[in-house]
Amino acid sequence: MRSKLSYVLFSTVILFLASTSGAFAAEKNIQSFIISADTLLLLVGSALVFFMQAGFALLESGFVRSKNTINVIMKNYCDMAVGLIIFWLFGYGLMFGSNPSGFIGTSYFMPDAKTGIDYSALLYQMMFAATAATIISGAVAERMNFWAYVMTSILVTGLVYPIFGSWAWGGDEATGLGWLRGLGFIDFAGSTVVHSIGGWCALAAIIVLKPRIGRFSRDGVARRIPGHNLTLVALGGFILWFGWFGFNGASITSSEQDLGLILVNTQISAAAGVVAALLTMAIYKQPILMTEVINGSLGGLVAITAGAATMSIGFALLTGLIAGFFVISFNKLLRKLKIDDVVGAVGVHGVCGAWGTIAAGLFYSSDLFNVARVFVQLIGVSAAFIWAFSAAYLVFKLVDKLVGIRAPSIHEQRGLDFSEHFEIGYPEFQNIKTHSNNKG
Amino acid sequence: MSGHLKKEALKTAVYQAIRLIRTEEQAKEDYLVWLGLFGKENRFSLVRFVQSYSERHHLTPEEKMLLRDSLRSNLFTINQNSDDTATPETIENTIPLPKVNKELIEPTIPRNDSIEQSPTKKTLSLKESNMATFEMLLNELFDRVGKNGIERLMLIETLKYFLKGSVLPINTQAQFINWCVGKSPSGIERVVTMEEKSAVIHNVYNAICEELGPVEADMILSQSVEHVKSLPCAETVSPEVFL
Repeated sequence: MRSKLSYVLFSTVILFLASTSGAFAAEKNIQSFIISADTLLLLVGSALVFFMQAGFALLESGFVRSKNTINVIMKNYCDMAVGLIIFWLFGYGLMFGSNPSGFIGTSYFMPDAKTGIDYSALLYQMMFAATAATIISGAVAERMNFWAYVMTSILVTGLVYPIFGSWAWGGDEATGLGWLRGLGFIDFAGSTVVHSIGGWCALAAIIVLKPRIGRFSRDGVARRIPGHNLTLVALGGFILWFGWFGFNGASITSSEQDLGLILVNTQISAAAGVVAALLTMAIYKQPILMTEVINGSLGGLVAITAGAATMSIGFALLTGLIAGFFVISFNKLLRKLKIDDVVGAVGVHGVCGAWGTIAAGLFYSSDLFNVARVFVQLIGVSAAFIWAFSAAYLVFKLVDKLVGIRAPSIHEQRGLDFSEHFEIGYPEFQNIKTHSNNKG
Repeated sequence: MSGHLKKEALKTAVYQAIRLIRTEEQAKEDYLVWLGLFGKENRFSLVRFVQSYSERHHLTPEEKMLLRDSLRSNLFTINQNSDDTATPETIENTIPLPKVNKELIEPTIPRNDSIEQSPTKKTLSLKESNMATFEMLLNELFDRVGKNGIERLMLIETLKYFLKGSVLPINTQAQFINWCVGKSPSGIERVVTMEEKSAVIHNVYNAICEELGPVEADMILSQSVEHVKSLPCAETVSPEVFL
């Protein structure tokens, strides 16, 4: 990895070294500095992406009723922990191992020093895998059995995510590229690979799970179930936005990519997502909901992730605007279809991820609106949907048969905090007593 | 059922109804006052009793309703044991009242000391309290749903659907639904075990979710539980045990 940042940061050092040492020694030192800077960038990026887990946990727990807070945080915490281990065991090998078929990686399982692995790259990819898994927890909140969730999380992180990843990012020139990568598919930091895959898995999950009790009236009207703490939602939104500095910033892979532009595009698209969400709600004559505004910003961030490095700022703005519109409209559509997505994860990650990937083809800076490129992007987006949705649907059905995916309705009444974990989020303040203290 | 036992049952029914809204000491005192008046009038009218009692003790509308419903339910039970076709009105008009005899009545009143000495009575008292709290919680839930604009019958129709998949035996379901619609005052007594009672409350919660949504259902359930917890019947058995 050779980043432009490295050259900028150490240009003065180069001059100094060149003037004081021999040319050969200077060149050697420069190489060493570049490697160190790249490693540092990846490690800082990994820490920022890891911090996004806190953002997800806060955002999702604020979105649910107080009786399900602990459960949502537990799911976020555990899917990350399980996801990291599983991805190290199998995922990394399936995704980045040698890929002669173009469909699956076959080496680098349980990577360590013997396999000659780049640890910083491994760490960064582990964080990405955990992100893909955690997208699902928000959509299925308040009604999914905890152990079933952990099982599905293992299958998503160990199978669904890395296999698609091997198509889009896997392989190398020597042993063969992933089939999508070979076609020229562009997904800079994972609009499709990470977010859409997570979003489509979430869609499969909520279809198998069915809505929470009473979410929709008999005549199909969606009833609002407000989250218990919108301050947490807002803080979660800010942390996620902040984490995107690492998500997009550290995904730089070539000295031709401009880190400044990538980060500016990221900010502009997120801001545009907010503006578009506001306007869309106004057009639909909906109340201006804070939760939807935050989802608008996340939609903008997800959408720009594919093309942040290859798009001009104006098109980043347009990408974010359209993403914000999609977030609000798709959530509306889901409600009409009586599909219960608690946090709006499918709209934000699935739909905006797909849109962002198409936008990356449409608005490719040196070659705008190239039909062939857009076609490849469409193939990638469609493949992601078909693979992730169908595989996840089978996974959720299988787990449902094995252990039962849906928490019993009495657990919904008592709250999953109590029934699944025997812990209460707010023991001093929780007035709603929907369970007996004598039980258990 | 003999006339003497019927009278005794009536007195117990009145005491139990008062006990639901008063503390034990207050209930005993009120009961003895009522016995004095009862002896003079030599007749019993449910409506008149509830009216005069609520005026004398400044009962809230909820307490008044609780007293009336409980008494009506108890009288139905007495009546059903003696004559299946009778109505509250016939009870009101046909029960000849006994002369006041404290010594005869006193042993029928549950007392703390006798409960402690006799395990059988303790079990009975717990059972009675359990049923009273359960009934109060159900009534409270139905009332609160009614205040939210959902008719009782509509809720019961939804409840029927949910009960079908519950642990309640089909006969018990039918009897319980009859109690809900006011056809069988003793129908609620068919719901015997804690598991069944818990299932009934949970399915009422589900029915409220279906009719009003989960947010209102949570609120109604928690408010009902809090209200019933403040009633004397909850001193022995808390409504939270059914959740």
